[in-house]
Amino acid sequence: MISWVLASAIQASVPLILAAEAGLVSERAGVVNLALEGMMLSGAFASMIGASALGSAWLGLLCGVAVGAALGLVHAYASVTWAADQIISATGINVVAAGGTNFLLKVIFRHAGTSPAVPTIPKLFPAVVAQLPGVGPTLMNMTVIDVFALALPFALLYFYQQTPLGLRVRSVGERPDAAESVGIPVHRVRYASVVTSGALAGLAGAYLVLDVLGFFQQDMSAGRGYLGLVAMIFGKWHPVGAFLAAIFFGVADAVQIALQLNLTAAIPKEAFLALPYVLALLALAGFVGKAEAPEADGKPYVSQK
Amino acid sequence: MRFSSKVVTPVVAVGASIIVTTLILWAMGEPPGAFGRAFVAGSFGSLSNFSEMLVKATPLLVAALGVSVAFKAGLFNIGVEGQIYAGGLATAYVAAAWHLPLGLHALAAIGAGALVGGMLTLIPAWLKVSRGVNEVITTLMVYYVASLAVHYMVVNPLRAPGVVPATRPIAGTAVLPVLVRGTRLHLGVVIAVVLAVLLWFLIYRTVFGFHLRSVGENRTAAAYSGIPVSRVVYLAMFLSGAVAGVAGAIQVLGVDHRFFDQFSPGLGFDSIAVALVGMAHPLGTILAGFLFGALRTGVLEMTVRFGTPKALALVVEGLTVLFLAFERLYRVRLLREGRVS
Repeated sequence: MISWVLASAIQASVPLILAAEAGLVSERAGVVNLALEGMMLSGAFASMIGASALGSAWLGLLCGVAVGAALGLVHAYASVTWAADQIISATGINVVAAGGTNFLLKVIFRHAGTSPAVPTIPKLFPAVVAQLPGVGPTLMNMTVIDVFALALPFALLYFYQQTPLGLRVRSVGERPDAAESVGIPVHRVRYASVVTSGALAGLAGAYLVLDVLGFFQQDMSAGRGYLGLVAMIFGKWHPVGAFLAAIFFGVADAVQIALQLNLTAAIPKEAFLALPYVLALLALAGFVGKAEAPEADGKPYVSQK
Repeated sequence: MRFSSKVVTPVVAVGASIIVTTLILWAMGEPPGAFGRAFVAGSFGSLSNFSEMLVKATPLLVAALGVSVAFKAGLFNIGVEGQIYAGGLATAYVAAAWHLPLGLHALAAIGAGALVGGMLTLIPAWLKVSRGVNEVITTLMVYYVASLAVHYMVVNPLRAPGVVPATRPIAGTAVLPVLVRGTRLHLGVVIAVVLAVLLWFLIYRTVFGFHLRSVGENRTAAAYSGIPVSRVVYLAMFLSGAVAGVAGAIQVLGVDHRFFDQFSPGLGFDSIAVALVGMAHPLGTILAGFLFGALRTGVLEMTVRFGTPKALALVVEGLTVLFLAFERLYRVRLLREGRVS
């Protein structure tokens, strides 16, 4: 039971970790990326199309990441080059993604709701590891994306805290005018950050298709992009803080599913389904002090040159 | 000729998204111009099409007014979808369970919808004021919880016997009367337009409206000039949710006469596009509301004629919003040509 919950907690956490870090990468450079939800959904759809058309989960993964990055480019073009309202640009992307994936799903497969099954990412370990006590189910499901997601927060921590480039990126998110005055190309840094953010969100979507479900389902991102942003806020824009918050939501989700399966009649199903969102609100209400967003987060920067 | 960018931006965005959608459909092999023709025929082809367009536009327009009020205060109430359904359910309950005289009953039911819709914004408003949390995220979290709660209520305690999950039919005393015999066009459309005018008055002609707009334009400056920013945020959010609740109420009292779970999925998200296209101005929102009502009936016509998936409407809306984000691009281009002031 416990080992099963652990395994499903990892699968529930990974998309949230990727989304939280994706949000962080964008916001550390000063661009709010509420389009994560749409990028995730589009990434999921593209990975399904890629995997089924090219017959390879790896190529599907590439398609998902590429489409996420492409939407990141759109968001950057609007919000960096044209100093657009970042919420409006993101809302546009999210609505196009919701409508577009739904539209194409029906046009291509003619039947509503889900796609046919597609190839999935191979597991890292042979099936016998499932026999191991405790961690067996967890190890059995592990793929390279899980490992990447678990390592990413620490890599980002190192990048932002220890490397000169990371420091420059942060300065763009805090004081773009000062950054520009010492020769940092503010717009280029923001473009790179938002595109990376989109690629990570696309990866999170691809994970849902190629690792968790094995097919595409209408609106399958189901608010995970936004939950990722909650985790980022709860983790105070710190890579490891966001990671821990994402794990917290992932564990809550796994416990919720386990309880739902075991306590059927007593409590309505909807109460369990609402749990992650209620926890998100409680987390936002309960944390101490004000949100510590980067200083220039969400503010378009018009070059002084 | 010189135009204000407030007019140019939405016109360019709507035009561009219609062109792009036509190109996509054309690339998929549908006859060019089919979209435009279906759009016009579906909405203006006959009295019944026209009245159906108005019926579809009404809740959309009202919900968009709700979104606009928050916009004017610089707030993004993206959870209208939940406020519409929770408000609609409260309305259906009051309209079915209470006994009141004609007229008063409808008023009480609409009031209940407004109250519940408004209450759903209180947590996001509080988190915004006291914790500085982005209201986009919190209104969405509340939306997920609210839509699950509404679904539970409709499927379990409030469910009436029948195949489709829905509440009991409402009492005759609460029904909004049909305006034109033989159509479904009901008093709600008048309520929607009156509400738009009232909100225009509130926003542009009262002290509260001035405070609201000041907070929307520059929160820091508003605070320095002595405007009670926190109170304005609470009131703007509550009003926004209340108006969204009225949108659900009007649909229940005017069209469905009971509450169907998810009677119009995506209505709230559509209304965000409407509010943006209307540049958050109540009167602009009226125009945008009817335009997007026409879009919905147009797409329905496409579905009937060519089997085009209904999600096409979402694509057009999303593209319109995305094109709106490039406001500066149009302004800069047109400024250079001296066409925009």
